[in-house]
Amino acid sequence: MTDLRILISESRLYCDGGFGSYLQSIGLPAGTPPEAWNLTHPEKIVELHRAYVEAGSNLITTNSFGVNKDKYTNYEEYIAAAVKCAKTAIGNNKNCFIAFDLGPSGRMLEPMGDLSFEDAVELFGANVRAAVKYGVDCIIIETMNDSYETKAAVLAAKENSDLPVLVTNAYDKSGKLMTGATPEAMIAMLEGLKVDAIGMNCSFGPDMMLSLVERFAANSSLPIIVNPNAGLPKIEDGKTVYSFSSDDFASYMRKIAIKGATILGGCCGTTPEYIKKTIQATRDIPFVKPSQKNITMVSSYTHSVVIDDKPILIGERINPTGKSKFKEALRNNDINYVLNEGIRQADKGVHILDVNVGMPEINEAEMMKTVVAKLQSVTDLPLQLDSSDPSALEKSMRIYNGKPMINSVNGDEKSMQSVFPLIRKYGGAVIALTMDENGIPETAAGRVSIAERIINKAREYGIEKKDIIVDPLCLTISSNQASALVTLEAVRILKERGCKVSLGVSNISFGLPAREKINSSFFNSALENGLNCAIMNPFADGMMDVYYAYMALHNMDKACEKYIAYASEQTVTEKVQKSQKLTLYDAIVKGLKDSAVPAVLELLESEEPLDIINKYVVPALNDVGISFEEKKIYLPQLLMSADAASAAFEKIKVKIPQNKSDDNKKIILATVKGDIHDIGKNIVKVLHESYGYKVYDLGKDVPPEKIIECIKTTGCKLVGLSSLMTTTVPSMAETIEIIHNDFDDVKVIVGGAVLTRDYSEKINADGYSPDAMGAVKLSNSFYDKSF
Amino acid sequence: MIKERFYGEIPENFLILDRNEAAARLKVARDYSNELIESCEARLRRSLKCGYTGVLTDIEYGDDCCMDFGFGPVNSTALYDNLNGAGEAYIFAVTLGYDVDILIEKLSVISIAEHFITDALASAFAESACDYAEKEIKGTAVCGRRFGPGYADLSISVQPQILRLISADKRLNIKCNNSYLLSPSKTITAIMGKKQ
Repeated sequence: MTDLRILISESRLYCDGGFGSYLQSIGLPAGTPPEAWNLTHPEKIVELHRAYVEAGSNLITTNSFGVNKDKYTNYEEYIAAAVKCAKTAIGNNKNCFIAFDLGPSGRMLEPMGDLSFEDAVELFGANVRAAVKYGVDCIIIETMNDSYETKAAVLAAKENSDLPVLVTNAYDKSGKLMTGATPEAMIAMLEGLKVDAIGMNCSFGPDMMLSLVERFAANSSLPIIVNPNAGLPKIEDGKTVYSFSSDDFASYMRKIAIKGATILGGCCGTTPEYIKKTIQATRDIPFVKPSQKNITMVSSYTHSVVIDDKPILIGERINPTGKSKFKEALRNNDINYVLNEGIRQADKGVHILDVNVGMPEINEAEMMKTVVAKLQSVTDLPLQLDSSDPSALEKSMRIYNGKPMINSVNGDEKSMQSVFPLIRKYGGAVIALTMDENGIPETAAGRVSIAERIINKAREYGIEKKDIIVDPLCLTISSNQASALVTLEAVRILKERGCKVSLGVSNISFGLPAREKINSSFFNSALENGLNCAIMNPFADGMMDVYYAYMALHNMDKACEKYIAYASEQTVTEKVQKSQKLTLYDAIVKGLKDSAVPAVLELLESEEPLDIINKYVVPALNDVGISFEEKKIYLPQLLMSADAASAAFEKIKVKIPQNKSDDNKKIILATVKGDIHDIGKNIVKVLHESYGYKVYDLGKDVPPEKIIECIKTTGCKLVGLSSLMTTTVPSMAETIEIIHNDFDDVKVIVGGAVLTRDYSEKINADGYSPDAMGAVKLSNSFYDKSF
Repeated sequence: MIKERFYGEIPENFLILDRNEAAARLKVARDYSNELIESCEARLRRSLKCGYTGVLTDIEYGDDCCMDFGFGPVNSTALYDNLNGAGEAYIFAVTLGYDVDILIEKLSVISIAEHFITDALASAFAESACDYAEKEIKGTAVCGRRFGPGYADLSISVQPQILRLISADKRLNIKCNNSYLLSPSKTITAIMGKKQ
């Protein structure tokens, strides 16, 4: 049989078109899913397929768009019937192939929804296994409007078959998927996952797809599929009709083919007639094989970052090395601390975030997976997954939504053998360190030689040179003063040889005083020699000064707009800090976080940390609390004060000696199982922290067992539970019962929009508060024994 | 039977925040004035990606306050009373989009005040978007009050059928989880009887 992979890449093919409109025209009742007819009216499905075969379609899609094991327990029966119908229609026609149709699951993946990534892979995997069992020629993943679900479907297809995989996404009028991905982001991810053809379907008519096709053709090396709707639907005389006639449709499809699309078909509203006319309109256009693009690109779930002439900043602050607070956060599973580091760097303007959570006391692979998933829910920057542990890389690459940067591989055979198979499977651009089992060569030529070895080895794994970013390594000038010159020479040679180059710039000054002065000067030299990516600290003003000045001086910043914005922001920040100089008490009462920090830093120079808490923070919070109770201020102002107090407390905490901290005041907080609302619980958390409590925040949708486990491991005797929905209050009652059964001395306080004091007593809660301030008072009374 | 389909986007600048609604959700006085609230509103507006999708459909009435809008029987005394014998109903969904959820999630990490304010404002914006969509959909038709799943005795378990009827997944990527909560979280579905 003809190899479909070769056909896809070397000839123009035609898909079929819509199913719903055609089937309704031959009797499918409105509201009945088309797949139902696989079992009840197979002859009608065969008739539909046959009409497309006769129209000239090569890729006949199975009638399985809406089938999965979540919707149908007998999904396999549906798939078997769908494949049988397609096979019957095709018969012995050698020009036709059966494409197994894999549509969206109908559910949203975590973190936006409740379907886990692995459950999604399994859901799609079950379909693929059934399709393979009954015999199909390829898999077409279609109408996906979420990049993460697309990735789950592709992995399912790849892990359960060796069939060609075609992917089309549904873009909206803004040219993005509903969850934000641009075509470039999808190209980066899907090419990384090594699918066989990519493109678009559904959403709107062929007119709107013209500009998208241009973007695909400019950035992708894969065959492009275009399956538009017959325009937008409307109801006329009780029937759904579409705005494009078959002639208009075909005329646009001709333009689309000329722009480079090689696999053409239709979606909603199109019929065999549309496909027949499309074929007539395009068959004289010479087939042009998609050209190989040499674009180094990584992506997040929204956008791609191209590594080219403009320098790329990679934030280095998510890394425990040399950071005691960061290490403590990882030990305590304080993910918010890590997320904060990511958000702050993103706000500073970095393009990519390096993520390193490696330290001996924790399970790095699990932590990496957790942090990567959470970071992707709060920032849309692409991530650089940084680990020497292959299992940490594997777990995080698998669940990463996009095409990641990987840090790193080196010239040691073992390193390449562990990292390259992961990149081949999941996609990614990788930082290649110019070192091997013999160490780091002293000369630039030696480092370039290792880079070439890595690039050649990568090719054996199907990884292109464009996805290798060489790091010729910075060694500190404090131990070898010639090292900066060696590194710069290596950068220059690598650039001449067409490599992309990255450096961990700050290493150059290790062991020297006032490191930022050396770092920024070296950064500038490296940029002048062609550096593409710098792994750096965006909070170092000198480094950011160099970056913005370099961009302005090298005509990479149109009308110096970014430089001017950056410089202006610096000036405004300084002025605001000067004009808003307040006492710590006033800053907290007024809810000014930016003023609270300098105020507390000044106090810490002359007063004891615990004195500052007792003399300024607690009185300010108490006064704010009284104003809130007297309705002189409202909840937003109370929360602003809590934010300001928390910011101050973070600075104070660092200065409190371990043996002097008030470890006695602690509370476990959780939103009960089944409830995903956590704003109320978070408010209670922040107020408790402001008052110096150690809070074990278990999050939302928390099962009782997790709370029991936390009580056992922390020894904490006070639990706060929250529930917002009437449907989850029984879950709160159950949780309280389990806690009281297991522990005589643990008290449970409760709150939440639907709770009342009466009800809290009925479910045997030990305390109830209608608001967060009241919850703090309850906790205080627990610890001063007046509870 | 579906009579008409509706689908549209709502430009951010078309949305007028009802200050009374916002004040109620922020738990502040109606004449509130606060720099942080203003800045949260401006940032939230940049994340709005509002859209609506809906249908005009026949209503068939059965016994015991049972109604059929084209997706199977629904039992609700309150909705039955609300429809007041209308022969047709507009059924629609409005969403602020996923960027709003991402913004709110991000703020939960960096500031509890901004998190609370933005979440409250987003809920108020969802109501504004619903008002806008209602006007666009019904045009000059006279309708009863909007009625939503989860209100009174109309179970939220009808959400999946409603979403399917109005192609909410395909048009706006609105999904329903196993607890019948919708994604994006700032999404409203509504049923509105069309008076004869």
